[in-house]
Amino acid sequence: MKVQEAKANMLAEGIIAVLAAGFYWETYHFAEDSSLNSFGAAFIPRLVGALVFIFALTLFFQARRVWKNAPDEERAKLAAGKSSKGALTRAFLFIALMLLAASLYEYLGFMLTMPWLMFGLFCLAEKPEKRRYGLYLILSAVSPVIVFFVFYYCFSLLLPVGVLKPILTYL
Amino acid sequence: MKKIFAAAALVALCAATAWSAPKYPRMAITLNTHKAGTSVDTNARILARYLNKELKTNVIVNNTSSQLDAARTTMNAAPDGYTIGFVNNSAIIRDVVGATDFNTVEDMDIVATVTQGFASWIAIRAEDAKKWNVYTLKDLFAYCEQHPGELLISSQRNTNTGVAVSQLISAGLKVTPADVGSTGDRLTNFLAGTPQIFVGAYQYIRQYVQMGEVVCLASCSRVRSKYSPDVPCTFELGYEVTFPSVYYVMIPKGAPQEAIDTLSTAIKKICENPKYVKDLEKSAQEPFYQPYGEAAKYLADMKQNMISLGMGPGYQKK
Amino acid sequence: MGGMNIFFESIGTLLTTPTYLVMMAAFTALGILFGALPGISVNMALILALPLTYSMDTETAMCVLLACYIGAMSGGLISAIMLNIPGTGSSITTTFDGNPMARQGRGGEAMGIGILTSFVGGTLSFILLLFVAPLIAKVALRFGPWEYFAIGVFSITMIVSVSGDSVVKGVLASLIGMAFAMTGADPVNGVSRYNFGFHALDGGIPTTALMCGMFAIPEMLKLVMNLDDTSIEVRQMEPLRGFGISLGDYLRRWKTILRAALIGTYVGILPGVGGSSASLLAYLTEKNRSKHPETFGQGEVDGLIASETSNNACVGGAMIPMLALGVPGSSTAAIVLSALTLHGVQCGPLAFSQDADIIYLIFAIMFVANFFMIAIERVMLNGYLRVLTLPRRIIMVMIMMVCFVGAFSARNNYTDVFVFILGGTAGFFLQKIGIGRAPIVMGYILSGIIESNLARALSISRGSFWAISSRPIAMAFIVLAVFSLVSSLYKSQKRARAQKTAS
Repeated sequence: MKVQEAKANMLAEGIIAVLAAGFYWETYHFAEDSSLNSFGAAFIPRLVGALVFIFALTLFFQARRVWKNAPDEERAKLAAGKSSKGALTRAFLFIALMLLAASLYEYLGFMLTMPWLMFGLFCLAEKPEKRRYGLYLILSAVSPVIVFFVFYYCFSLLLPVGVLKPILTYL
Repeated sequence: MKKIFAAAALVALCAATAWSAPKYPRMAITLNTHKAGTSVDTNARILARYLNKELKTNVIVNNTSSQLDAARTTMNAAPDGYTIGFVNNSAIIRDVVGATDFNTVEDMDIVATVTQGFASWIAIRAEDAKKWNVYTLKDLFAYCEQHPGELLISSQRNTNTGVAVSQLISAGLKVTPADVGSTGDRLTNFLAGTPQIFVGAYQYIRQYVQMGEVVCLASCSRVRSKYSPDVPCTFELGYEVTFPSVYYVMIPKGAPQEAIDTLSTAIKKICENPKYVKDLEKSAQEPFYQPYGEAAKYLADMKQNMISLGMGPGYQKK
Repeated sequence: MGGMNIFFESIGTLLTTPTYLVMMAAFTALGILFGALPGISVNMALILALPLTYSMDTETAMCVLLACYIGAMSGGLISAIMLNIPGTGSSITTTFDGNPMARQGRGGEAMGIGILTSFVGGTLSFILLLFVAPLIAKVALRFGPWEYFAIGVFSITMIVSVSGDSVVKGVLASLIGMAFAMTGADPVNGVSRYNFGFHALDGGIPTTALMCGMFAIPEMLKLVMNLDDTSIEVRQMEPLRGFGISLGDYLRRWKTILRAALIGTYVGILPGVGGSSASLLAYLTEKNRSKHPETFGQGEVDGLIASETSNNACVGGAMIPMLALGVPGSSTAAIVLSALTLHGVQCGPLAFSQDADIIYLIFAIMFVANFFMIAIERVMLNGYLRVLTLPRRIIMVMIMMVCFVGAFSARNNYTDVFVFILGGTAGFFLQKIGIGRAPIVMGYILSGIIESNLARALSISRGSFWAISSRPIAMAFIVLAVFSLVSSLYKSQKRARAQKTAS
């Protein structure tokens, strides 16, 4: 394991170990069941939880050893190293946009959610000077409508209609 | 002036169209059901096809992950009459054993029952029949009396099959239930030799019975099934073991009465359609129409019966 | 020989009836399109095609459904190779070598080989199906819950082999996948687990949403975070001639092809195991047999051949228990079986004598549809290459829209869209620390097989785990699993020591 990976690994494996402990603990809150089988609903989850905890801790200590054994200068350099704030901001915005779209999907419907989501993603995925807003607008506006009606008329699959239900009444 | 005249004509046309169009249904109806490939889905698709023609609208089958999910999705949908659910009484079993977060009978309106079928037949392999000298259900009971707990009987929790197996055990069959999954899994394991007793739908074993590889001992019903007229039913043999599968259509509470009445009438007509009856034969079902009101009472009685048999407390609102 | 006569008559009927030909061509193309779109699984493709068959006669309906099935199974390779997003679960292993080939500018070659080898795999399994289906079906009966449990465990240990250098991370990845699978009602007792009162999760985390999320979201995040990175663009490709590989070169790999076809067919026969396990087992078999296993995952042609041959061979295999026993071998086969029931066809051991016309017609349709598949994909291949030269950033946003459709529509559940996003985000971060997506998804898929079969096995053996020792096939897989794990650990240690010595 390289030194620069060790720090990220320590953090991640630590989080996984904590989650695994929580996963194991939650098995004690399962409803009781009178199984026809000799092991109940909690057996495999406990086994998996315990193993994940053990493996995550093993990796945590492995990463910690690499980090501790690294020369002081290298550690200081890595600790001072700036992660790309722009990249992280865009990643955060991407996730936030997707979650917002998922939250409003039921209420707005497919045809009102996709356009702004797609436009936002097009903009996030390209440098400002290279963006083609006209193309993005056309693609964002037209493709959801085409997809919606193709799926409905050709395959009898009704995507969420949301607030457009009264207007789409005569489908 | 021309523009005003054109707009007025357009409005008049829309009004005329709206006035002459049927009040319900005006748009596609979504029918929530179990996942694709299951017998519930098959029956739902058969029904949807006929509802399409009867209601002259698109009835779209939406597959969910389970019958409870289908019921819950329907219950939570807008009560505008355009979302309905199609499940069978396995959903009520889960209610009875306390595995639901809602009342499967009272928390929604039951439009009508549609079909019913005998869910469970009891069978053993021909080579086992020869080995044990068991050719009737009574023989099986006698054999199990002499070898209590030795034989395994295939079962599946919280399903019609599971209920039939519980009833058989209550009737005195001394076997050990083994939960081996869905009917397909039960059949595969049964054909391989364990469990020794198969309980499940007849269409799965029909061909094996015809080939003589499997001996069908009884159908879990009050009368003989027309799909297996040579096979006695449990009631005629003196065992009160029966739990038919009943399929029904539900709608969210508060849906317009017009929608409920239209759907119920449509289902009645469909159940009287000979083509539909023929289609149902493919999945060993027969029409069983009970209208709005009676259907809910029928299912409520079924649920109460299960509770009084000690199967569970039923859904308790917290 | 009566069956063979009916089969050839059926071929003749298919080739001389324009309706059947048109339907097969159209729905193979549609199936390929669905298979290529991430988020639209094979099952969904069939569910979408099913209502169209209601007004058709049985023969035409079979042409539509089976052509769609074959097209969809093969179509998964397109997005797997070009976008690194498997279109279907059985295309996960295609991403291991197919996408690296695309990044090296060999995308056309990868697609050509994938198409050819899909055809060969499918054809070999159909030939097997034709001659020995009822006999092979009996093999499925020798596999009970203990055997399935053992295969599941063995497959999990094999996953470790594709997890890169760290065995521990490989095992951890598959365990994390298993943990994801434990959400929802447990497969045997129906007890709700890890839904935290959120009943929309009672059905568990859906495969389509998770798989789509794990592969598509990280690709999108990479684009968003690296605006300057041009290496993500698939390199410009020349129009392809032939299938990207000479006949001699392809035939030299006949052992790989045959092994993968047999593994795919055999695993397909086993109800509940599935195409993703088949392609994984075939891929890892080739990797372990190879003199240069280090080339696997870097654009190795044998890896691509093993993956695509086996996943299409699985289609024929899955038909065997369905037709010969009346037991669906996979959830896809369950949909096909349900469609057959809707059209009045009863599958089972007597089907070959009582409904021989329909059964051999089914074989004939699958055989002919395979030819349509290769023809359509080959003709469209240069078109796909041209489409994929469009800016990847635009393509990926369109893919996000399709993934929204697929994630929601699989179960008509809004929660699944959140699973798609959050699962994918988690997959991205896990990937950053060397925990691969493929082992997570495979662990997720295998968890159900392991848990439900262990529960059933213990139910049958009345709680005795030692009953497994009386099952030789199961014991063989357990021994192989232990050997596979120990061997991976040993190789990993050896590699680590070699690296230490070199540095």
